Amino acid sequence: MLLDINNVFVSAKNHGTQALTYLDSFPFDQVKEIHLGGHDEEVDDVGAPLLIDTHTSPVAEAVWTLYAHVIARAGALPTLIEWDNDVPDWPTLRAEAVTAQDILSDASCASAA
Amino acid sequence: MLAPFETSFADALLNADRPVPYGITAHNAAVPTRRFAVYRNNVVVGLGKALKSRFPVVEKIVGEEFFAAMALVFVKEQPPRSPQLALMATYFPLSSPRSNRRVNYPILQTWRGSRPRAHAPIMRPTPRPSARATLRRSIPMLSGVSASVFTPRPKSFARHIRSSRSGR
Repeated sequence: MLLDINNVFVSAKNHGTQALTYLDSFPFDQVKEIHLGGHDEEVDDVGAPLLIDTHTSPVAEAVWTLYAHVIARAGALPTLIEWDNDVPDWPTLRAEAVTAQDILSDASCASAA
Repeated sequence: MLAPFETSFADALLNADRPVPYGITAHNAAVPTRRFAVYRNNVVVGLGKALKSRFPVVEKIVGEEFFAAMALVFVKEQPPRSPQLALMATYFPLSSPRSNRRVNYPILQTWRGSRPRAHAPIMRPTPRPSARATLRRSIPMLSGVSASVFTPRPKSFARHIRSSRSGR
């Protein structure tokens, strides 16, 4: 199963629920790949934030936190940074990959210790 | 046969002037107009991208901006009838009467290829350098066509495209 953590965050926010609660009951043993990506923020009909899963920006801090939480529980998993439009320069994209790698490495060290 | 709800939902998806279908609500709004607009945008932009991947040469010829505007009109007038988007738009480009009224661009009808035309091909073989330059030489009307045929609509279309790009 593929777990898109940015999508979980966006959907939870838009529906007024908690992403962490959703993830805590997720069957991580079935997950073989993780997707991360950036989202845009607009406002809905009552002026509340409405997140759009655009893949046009860096991964949000809150999504990195969720990712670290998932990796700590599930162990290291293949991870893809989705950035489909307004593709940035290489250093920016690489920085995203390095952040993901750091979190994966931390999880590997923790499980080896 | 689709139930009334499905029919009104499908209709509202492709027509921004239709109200949000009865029964669609959000946790914080009884009539979530802006949220439904995101959904609408996903559908239309996604279909436009499918069209773009099917007709890359047409896009090169008319340009990205015009193609996007044309696709926006087309997908609303002739939404896909099969779940296989690879089969979408057999009669694209510009085969529908409404589109033809809007954009009289006979070269595209010639290139459509799926149905033989009674008239002779407008294009005739000429050496490269580029497809666009070649066309300008062989079809004088094309060099001025973007100014004479498409204005003023493309600018308003372009604004619409830009403002509706965000969602997916």
